[in-house]
Amino acid sequence: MKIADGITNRTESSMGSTMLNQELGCLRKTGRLLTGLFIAVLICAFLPPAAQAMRLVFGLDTAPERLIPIKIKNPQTFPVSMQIFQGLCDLDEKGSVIPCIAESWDTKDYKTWRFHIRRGVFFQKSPIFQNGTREVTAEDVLYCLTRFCSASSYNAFLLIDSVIGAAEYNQGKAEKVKGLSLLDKYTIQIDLLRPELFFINRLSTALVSVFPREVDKKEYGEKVGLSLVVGTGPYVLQSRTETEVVLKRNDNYWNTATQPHFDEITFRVIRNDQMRLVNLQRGNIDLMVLPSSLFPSVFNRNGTLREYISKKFQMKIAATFNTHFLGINNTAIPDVNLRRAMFWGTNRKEIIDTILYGYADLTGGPVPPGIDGYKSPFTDSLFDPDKAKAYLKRSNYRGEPLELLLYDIANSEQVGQIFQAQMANVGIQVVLKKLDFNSVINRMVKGECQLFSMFAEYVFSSPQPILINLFSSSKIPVPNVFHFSNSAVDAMLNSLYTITNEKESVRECSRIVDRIMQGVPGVFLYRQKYVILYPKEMTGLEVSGNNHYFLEKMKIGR
Amino acid sequence: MISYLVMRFGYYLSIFLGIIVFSFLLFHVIPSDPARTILGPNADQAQVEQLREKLGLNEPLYRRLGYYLVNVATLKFGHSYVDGRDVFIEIGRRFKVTLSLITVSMVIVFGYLAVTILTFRFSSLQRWSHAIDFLISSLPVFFSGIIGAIFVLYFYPVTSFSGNLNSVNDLIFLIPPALVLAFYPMSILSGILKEEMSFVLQSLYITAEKSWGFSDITILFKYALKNSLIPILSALSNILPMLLTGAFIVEIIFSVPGIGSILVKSILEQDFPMLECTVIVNGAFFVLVNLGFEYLYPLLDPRTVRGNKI
Repeated sequence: MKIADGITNRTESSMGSTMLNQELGCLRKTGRLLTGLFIAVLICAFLPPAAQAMRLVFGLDTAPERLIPIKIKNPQTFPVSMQIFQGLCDLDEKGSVIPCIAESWDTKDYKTWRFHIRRGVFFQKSPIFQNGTREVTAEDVLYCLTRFCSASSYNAFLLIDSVIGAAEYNQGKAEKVKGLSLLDKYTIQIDLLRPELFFINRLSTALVSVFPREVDKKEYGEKVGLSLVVGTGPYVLQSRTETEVVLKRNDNYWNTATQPHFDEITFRVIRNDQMRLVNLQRGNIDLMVLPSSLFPSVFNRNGTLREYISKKFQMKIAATFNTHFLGINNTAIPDVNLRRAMFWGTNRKEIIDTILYGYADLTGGPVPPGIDGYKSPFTDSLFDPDKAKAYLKRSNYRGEPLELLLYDIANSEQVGQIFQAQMANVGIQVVLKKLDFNSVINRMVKGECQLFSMFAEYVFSSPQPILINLFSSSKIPVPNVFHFSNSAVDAMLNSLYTITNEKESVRECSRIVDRIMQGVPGVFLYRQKYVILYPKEMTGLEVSGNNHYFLEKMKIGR
Repeated sequence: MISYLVMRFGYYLSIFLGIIVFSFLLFHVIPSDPARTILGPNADQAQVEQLREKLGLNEPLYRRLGYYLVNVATLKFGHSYVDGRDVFIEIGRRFKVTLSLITVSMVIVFGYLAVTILTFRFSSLQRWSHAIDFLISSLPVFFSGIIGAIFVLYFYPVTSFSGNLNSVNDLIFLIPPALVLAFYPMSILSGILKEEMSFVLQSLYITAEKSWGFSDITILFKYALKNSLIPILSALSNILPMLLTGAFIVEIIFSVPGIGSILVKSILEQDFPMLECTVIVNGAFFVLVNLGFEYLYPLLDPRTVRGNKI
């Protein structure tokens, strides 16, 4: 009991004031010690670091996926993965296919393709080679392409429709892919089901890359893609945590013409957009893609950079293969006049100017303008409210609300709101329903929706496979999410396999788009452009439509 | 005493089992297709069906629940749907980060409580203490978090977190987010403490101790505090689990890869194995914290046990 404790200490009352002084003294000493410790720690943190290697820090908004080539599917991972992995070919900044691991290729009939592997391309040094390395051969390419066709690959769709035996292998009905064969140590042959002028555009995607078969050994199972990543690119994985991926220069990079300048590249994940921008301003990161949520604080209304940004930073505008559209389930809304009314009643320019400050290209159709020389059949603004009202009058629409599914990323909600207002002006009632992105995908694939906001991050760098995948009847429900079916269009798409002239093939694509859009499977809005902010003293930034940042070409001009 | 402890243990175990079963049912009843989510929108429907078969998603619900309970009992939480990582190892790593964040947060809270106690010695500070409590309890986490993050970027020496707590810089980085996380508990616990201490300091034995010449510091920290602890501990038993689940806002703002941020990510990606393990870990933490405090109360005040005897 405390009173008893107090009674037994009664005789100490005379020492009370001494005890008080001692206690206060103790407290003061402790306080001083803690303060001194805290100051010492802060000083250590403020001390200038030891001389550092040349380093670039890239701010990302999401963490990259696990770096297993056959399982990478998110284009936001490409800026990281394409520093480490390379494919047979690549795209340059203008969108032209350029050789990479394959130094050349040839085909006589577009049905049989031969790829000649460059000599002297080595995998990055790794413990899987006992800290050595080895040369890339055609056998490695064969192994990788086979893995890309397997059931465990997330990107088998790239090849299973084209390569002989790929579909059977994917379904477990064959032991190997019949259409892949080795001719010699540095030559691989690919036999296709049908002639494809555009087959090379399937391989130039960022999704297809070459990696050593040793990483697939069971002993590396948990590490591969996380701490164990081996490719042929200019940068090697040094370390990876949830918030940072650090790459270091590949000292035995095969491409002597473009050796990497930076010793180290750090990809730092800063999810909050505002924090990412402040980090850029503070110099904690060097490069970031400006999200549209920050456009109002970075741009003036006319689309020029505000002064406080333009003093220190410059911007690079990169055209992407990313097309935003409002999809229409053609089975749920079979009335083509109603669909046409929506098409002509949409003011795409208003959407682009309001949300994106002009940083997007207006599109009337599914193919991004300029891709592989493609010319869109639509040349005007595509906004004609009178035409829209005329089509609406011809339709069977009687005022029932149409549900538009939206999600929480990529400006979907804002686009939906503007579209809703524009449709109201035409006389169409649209009800917005917001879900998470995956739920929208699920409902879209199952056909359990009328309208849906979506974007397509095309992986093909030419219009032919885009159109074949999106609008063939045989591709319903995926990737033909519009449930679009038209026998005339199917016939036109099939004819693409017979055309052997590139320019004629691209012109035919333009005609096909014109035919498809008469049925209005969707309201295609814009092709997105990335706005990349980086300091003025940096030069040489190139970005392809594949989201490939040629960071090895960047220099700091100090 | 033993029967009291056994009763409490049984009670919390039943809650834990309920969390496991209810969370499983909830995740598996909502309309979604994890196979489609894993493979992405471009994958063939046939490939999606194949994966559904492989993941056992076509099995009847009761069978899946059975496998799930067996796996949980043997700590096998499977692999992430999104990237194939071992769920248990990944959650463990994240939990360590969040636990560190909470620990630093609690150190700040206890430090603040110590200062609150001192205001009874220096009464001119009491008004400031009330004002600060009012201010920090009024700040929503998302607002104080953004302000804190901007402060970090402009004035703080450490602005990034490596993610694995291997360096002193990582611990220094945790101080601002821990402070933001600590605001609410600081204000709540401070209010409770002041209320209790005011009541206790009016007791006769305190007056006796003053008359015997004990210093104010001794009376406050050694005698009065002990009698004020039970309500504090009760509040703490609620606050600690709340810190774990509520840390996700702070983790997202400050880009701390803790268990809160993986919870949000798993929900958005429909990564059910990761989500289930996160919920179970949170549930286990809640149960263990409450159980721990239930065992602590009798040690501090045996009357709690006597009052519960049948």
